[in-house]
Order: sequence, then C-alpha cells, then structure tokens
Amino acid sequence: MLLLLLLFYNRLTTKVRQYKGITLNPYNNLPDNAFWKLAVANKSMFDIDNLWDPKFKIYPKSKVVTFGSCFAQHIGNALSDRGFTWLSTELPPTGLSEVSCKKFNYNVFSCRTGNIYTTSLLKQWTEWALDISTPPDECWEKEGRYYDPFRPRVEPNGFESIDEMLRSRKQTIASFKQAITESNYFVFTLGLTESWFNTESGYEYPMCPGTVAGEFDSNKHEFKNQEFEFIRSNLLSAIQMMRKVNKQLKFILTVSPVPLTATKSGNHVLLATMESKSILRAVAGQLARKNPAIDYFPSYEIINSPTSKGAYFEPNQRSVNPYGVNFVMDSFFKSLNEKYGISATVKNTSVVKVKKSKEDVVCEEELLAAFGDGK
Amino acid sequence: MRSSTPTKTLVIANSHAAALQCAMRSRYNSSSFPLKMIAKAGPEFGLLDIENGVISHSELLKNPIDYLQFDNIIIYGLQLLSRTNGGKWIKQVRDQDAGRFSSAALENAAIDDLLSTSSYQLAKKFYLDSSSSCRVICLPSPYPGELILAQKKQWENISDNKGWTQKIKNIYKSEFKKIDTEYHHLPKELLSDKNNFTTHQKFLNRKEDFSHINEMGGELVLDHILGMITP
Repeated sequence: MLLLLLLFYNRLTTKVRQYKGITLNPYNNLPDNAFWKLAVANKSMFDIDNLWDPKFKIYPKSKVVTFGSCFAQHIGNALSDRGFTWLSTELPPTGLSEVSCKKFNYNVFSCRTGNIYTTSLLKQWTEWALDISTPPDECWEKEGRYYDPFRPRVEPNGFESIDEMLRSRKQTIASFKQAITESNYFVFTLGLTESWFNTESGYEYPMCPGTVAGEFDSNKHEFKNQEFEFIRSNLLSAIQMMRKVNKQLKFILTVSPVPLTATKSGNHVLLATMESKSILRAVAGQLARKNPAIDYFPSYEIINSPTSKGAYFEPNQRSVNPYGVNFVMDSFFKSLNEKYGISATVKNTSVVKVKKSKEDVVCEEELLAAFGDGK
Repeated sequence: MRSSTPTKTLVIANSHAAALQCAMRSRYNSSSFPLKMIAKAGPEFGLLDIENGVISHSELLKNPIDYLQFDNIIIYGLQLLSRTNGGKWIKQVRDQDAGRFSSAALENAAIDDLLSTSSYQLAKKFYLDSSSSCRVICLPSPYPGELILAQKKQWENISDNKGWTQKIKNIYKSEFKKIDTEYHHLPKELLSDKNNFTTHQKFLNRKEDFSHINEMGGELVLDHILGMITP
C-alpha cells in the first residue's frame, strides 16, 4: 500500500513539474532533431532536414566567391545555376568555349588559383594579394613548357615562357584581391591536412613537386601533415586579413567530402582520410561557433554520414556523383529559403542534372592516383 | 593565262558573294560562268543540310543540289574570328601583355570561335557526309574580322597584331585540315600594311561598311579561285 502511494506521489510530482516547465534532465525538452531516432533513423535519407541553420541572409544579388578544394567548384556552379551571383574575377578570353574554360581553369573557382587545399595555402594567397608578402619566382619546366608551382594545372600544357607564367600569376593574384574586396561572401572548402613546403623559403606548394611538374628534392621539399592548431590559426589569420580590407565580408566554410587520393602520412589512406577530415571539420566547427562572421555548411556530413550509405559516391567511392552534389546544393538553398524566404530559381536544370561529376571538377590531387597504378 | 578549263565548282557564300558575282558578270556571259554559286547573307548558310551527296534546306534552298556533280566545293566568307568577337579578341592580345591571358588560352579561344562559325560547321557537314568525295576549300572574308575595329580608327596602330593575324590563319589551316578541308588565304593585294597600318585596298565605297570589297576586289578573288580549281 505504501509502495503504491509512493509511486502515485512520484508520478504526480513529475506531472506537476512537467506542467510547470521544469525539466527532469537537459534532454527532456530538446527538439526532435536532437535525437537520432526521430531525426535520422525514422526518416528516409532524403527527408533528413534542418541540417543547416544559415547565419547569413544571402540574397541572389549578394556576391559570392568560392575557393578551396575540388568540391568548392560545385558550390560556384550551383550558385550560378540557381540565379545567385557567383563572382568570377578572372574572366576568360572572349570566344573560349565552356569546355576550354574548364581546361584553362576559368570559372572553376572565382579566379585561377587552382585548388587551395589547405588553410595555410589560403593564407599564402591572401598575403600575396594584400601585399603582405611577395610570391617567389620559382618556376617548373617540363619539356620546354613552364608551370606555376602554385597553380600547376591552370594551364593544361604549361606556359610559353617563364615571363608569361609570372605575368599570369600576377593577374591571378590581382583577381584574388578583387575577389576579397568586392565580394559579400567568401566560401572556402577545406580539403587537406597533408601539404608540401619549401624548407629554404618557407612557402607552400599545392602539389608535391615532381608530381605534375618540377623535380622533387628531399633536401628542399618537406612533407607536413598539418595539425589542428596550425590549420585553425592559418585560417583565422587569413580571414582576419581579408576582413581588414573588407569589413563586411562573411565566410562560409565547408569541408570537402572527397577522400584523399593518396597519403604520405604512412597511414592507410582510409585512416588518413578520416583523420584529416575530422581535423578539418573540427577547425571549421570551432571557428564558426566562435565567430559571428563565419558559418559552417555541412556538405561533408550530407555526403559522408551513414544515412547516405555511400549512395552519393561514384563507384570509385571517392568522387561525389551528380545526385550527391545536387542534394547538397538543394539542402543549401532549401535552408536559406526556410529561414529567410529566399528562393532559388533553377536557370538550367539540364546542366544541373546531366553534369558528370568526375568531368565536372578540376582536381589536381587526383593526379597522385597515377603514382599508385600498377602497384 | 591558263589554257585548261576550271573543274566544276560550287561556291557557297554569304554576302561576300556579291563582289564575286559582279566580277563574273563583267567577264563572262551568264551561260559561261565558271562557277555555280549559292549565296545567303549572314551566317545562315551554315544551316544547310548535307546528306547523301545532296545539299538541301526547306527554307534556304528552293531545289536540292546534287553536289557530287562538282569537283570542288568552295565555302567563301569565313570571317577570321567570327562575328563581333574579332575585335574583342584582338584587344585581348593587347591584354596579353598585361598578363591577363596566355598565348595558349588565346589560341584555344580562336579555335573555339572557329568551330562555332557557319563556314566551319558547313565544311564539317561535308566531311561527315559519307557520300562526299569533293575537294572542299574554305576562304575567309576579304577583310579579317579582327581588323575591322582598326579600320574604324579605334586603334592607332594595328600592325602590332599582324603576327597574331598570321598565327590565327595557321591555326585555322590546321583545324580545317582535321576535317579534310583546305584553308586558303585571299590574295595579298586586298590588304596593305603601309605606314604601319593595315588597310583595305579594294573597298566597296559604302558608309559604315568595313568588310566588303568592290568589283575589282571581286576580280582578284575570282582569279584566285580560278587559280585553285584550274588544273
């Protein structure tokens, strides 16, 4: 009898506390999206929503620039295809077809920087653009053509002369500065932690010398697998420099969902991929949490989470397929619409649907796969 | 003077056909015209259908033409760097000095531009028609498109770009060769490079027309063509 009375009293007090809004523990009143079962397990992978709460009201007329790893290219394309203003500050010569533009790296990123895989490379480009440091004169020669060590694949067959290469780089640096000063939003996709430095002068290469062109010299070229604090401080520093010249500039960080082509870390490439992406994701998350001018968009999670079951990858389990790209970008625009009522207009559905992701992206790092062939 | 008669030739041309037609009229009776010509102003002739040895088009051509009866097909009027792109493009050559573009990117732009021209597309249709056994020749318009803006006095000295004009011609030659088409320049006499300025020598005296040649120019082109098709 006493036991029944105690049980009744306990239930009664629970009901009263709930009625008064007093929680029993911090999880009681959380929204559905805080629970895996409600937000994920009970839903189809296509119905999982509320993944992004955009910080910024990006209007179609807002100028957005995109840089970073290969995946950033999809964001630029999607913005253009959906009627948003993707700013390209280094325009191709008149007459160059869309296919050739891609070949010559025009309209791939907002200017012809090529892939900026690491945050330290972003800082390096920013310092060059803002005259904080000067780019070195280093040039790679291969079969009579000249390659820019900092954009080794922007010219498919290299430049005609060293002079042409240096003048072209100068133009890209000027265009990068224009991207910083004229845009409203700077989208940066973090791609890699693994990097290559010149030990004599301290500058960084986007690709290991000797892969695309140039010669590898173990006395001069050093591998560095970047760690959290190094990545965070370089990114923050680059952002601060850019905001110094454009106070209104806001940043949207993403992490590339594309696994590494090859690793020099000594680990299995799968482990190296997971470790690298985890660090990059943690850096992006921390900066976005602490800085009102920085947001994080979860393209990485949308593609890579277990709910997707790898469906958004091509058979090589590395390249993101067009469905994945579309789903990510649809989530981006859907979130903007839900929060701010800004709707995207699809300008060119056929292009969005037909594009083959492997052909669609320009990814220097993929060249590394060639060194694994036949092994 | 050549003693042989010209081989049978069909000329497909745009508005540049007019000067050629005038030249033929002044030199021959219509029954002895050495060339059969079909012409349509603008880029529309690129739309002609070429299939099984027949040229046809429901709107552009009243009666289909069996082109296999001809030894040569001449496509006349290709503007080096087509449409309005010519002037823009050559300006880019100047920008090249400032590092904006590499020579390879400019060359590719010239090729891409060529591939979009009516002349190239028509030549390609002949190439793709399995019945085709004719010799196909492409001739540019008398005055290179990239020089038109210079003629309008927008630049003081066009001769800086002459190297590029030659380069474009070489690019075109090589691209046409890929589709079994010969590309020939027009007679040098049509242009002059006196005083560091490339000018038209046989202008049709018509206001705001910086492109077309007069009857004398037409005669030069006619002789040029006859030289190519007479054994």
